[in-house]
Amino acid sequence: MARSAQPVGRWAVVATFLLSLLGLGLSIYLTIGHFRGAQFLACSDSGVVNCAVVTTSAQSYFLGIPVAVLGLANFVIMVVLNSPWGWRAKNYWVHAARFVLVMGGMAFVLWLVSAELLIIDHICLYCTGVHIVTFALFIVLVNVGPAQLGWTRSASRERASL
Amino acid sequence: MANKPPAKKTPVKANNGRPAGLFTWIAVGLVVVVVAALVIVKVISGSPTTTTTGTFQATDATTVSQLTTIPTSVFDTVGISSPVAPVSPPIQLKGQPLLTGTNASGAKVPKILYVGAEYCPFCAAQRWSTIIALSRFGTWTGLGNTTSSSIDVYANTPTFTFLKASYKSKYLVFSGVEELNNVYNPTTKTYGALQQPTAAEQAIFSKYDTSKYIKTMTPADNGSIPFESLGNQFVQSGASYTPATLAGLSRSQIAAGLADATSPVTAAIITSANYETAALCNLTKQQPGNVCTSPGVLAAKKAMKL
Repeated sequence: MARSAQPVGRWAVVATFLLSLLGLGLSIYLTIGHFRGAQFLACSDSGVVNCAVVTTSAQSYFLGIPVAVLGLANFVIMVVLNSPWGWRAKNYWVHAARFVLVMGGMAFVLWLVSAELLIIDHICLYCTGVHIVTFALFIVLVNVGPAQLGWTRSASRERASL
Repeated sequence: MANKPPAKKTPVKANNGRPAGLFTWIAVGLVVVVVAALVIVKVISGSPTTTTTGTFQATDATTVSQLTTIPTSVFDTVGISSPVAPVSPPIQLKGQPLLTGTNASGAKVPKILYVGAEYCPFCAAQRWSTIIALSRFGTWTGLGNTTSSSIDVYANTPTFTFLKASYKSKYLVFSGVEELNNVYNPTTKTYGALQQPTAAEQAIFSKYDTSKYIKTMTPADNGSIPFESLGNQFVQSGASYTPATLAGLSRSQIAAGLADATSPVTAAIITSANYETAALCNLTKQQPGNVCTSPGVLAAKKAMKL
């Protein structure tokens, strides 16, 4: 029997779609900044908050790929998966992919935060924005994802069975 | 309609018996704990220890060899083709008196003046090309290893220092001035002082490193480093290619890759070196002939309209 995903609340659909669009906007800005030069970013260039130092550091590449480009790719996929159409997808694996992607994204964000704090010693404002958006997406998706994927029983199903 | 008895509040159970919200709490809690731990480690440890000590470290013979004996085929294959990183050539000046110096044999020859600093990431990128270009006219000794500042843009870009470098050539003389090291002093908010240009060198720097002679500069950029005067006939202010090209690579990786004409990093460095060589050939009256008539240099001359 084919696996099926359970529906989720409308709030989760709206929240994840808006968060994904916000993340996409930020990652587009960071990608343009990567290719046009760090001075493109409207950001402090002195003190702890210094986008140029972060976005030109060795850690701004991962396996030879600019981190900004990886972030952009992540949010392009997230926008598709978190769109109302993505949430309505019948294929179970679309929903599993969304969950796996946000887990991977959160793990990558933790690496980037550690790099900023412990290696680069500076913080990039827009990168932090992306990190917060990813964390918010993570909170929503770990809230609704397991039940949707049938790993736990959702509260609504539980109530319905009473 | 019969009233249903009120539903008893029962904790939602997972299939394996855990409450449904447990996974959410564990996952979010784990992230919060990791971030909190990172912040605590950061606060306790303070700023990362600088990787530079200001102590001179001579460049090893292998790296110097990789840098100064690049196969001719690499120069000629690359020519001025750098598909990933755009490269800007030196700017030709018109009607300026030739800057000369006396070489080891006592001959008066064109002088190359470099003004930069060890902390400067743009100097870090430019030194690779400058060393390579000049090695086609003479011999380097005393090159040292350094990296750009760890707290500036393009942090820790691997490069070399001219601090104790000596250059011998029958065609040219070279004077390198590294004004500051790469060790930042948070108290004085500057880097440690190293060398100062002579009064004559400072006059050249002040005169030519300006928007009056370098039209691509704005007045706000006057006095930028790195600055190179090639006999006062050509000038270069700033790096000819972005230091981002070298990001994430070690000095030995870049040096070893110089024999590979297909590497985008090599392409940027060699394109810049070919442009600089073309300008130097203009000063040396196209000597040595095998360098100045090589296909890579001819391509650069054509692009620079020399």
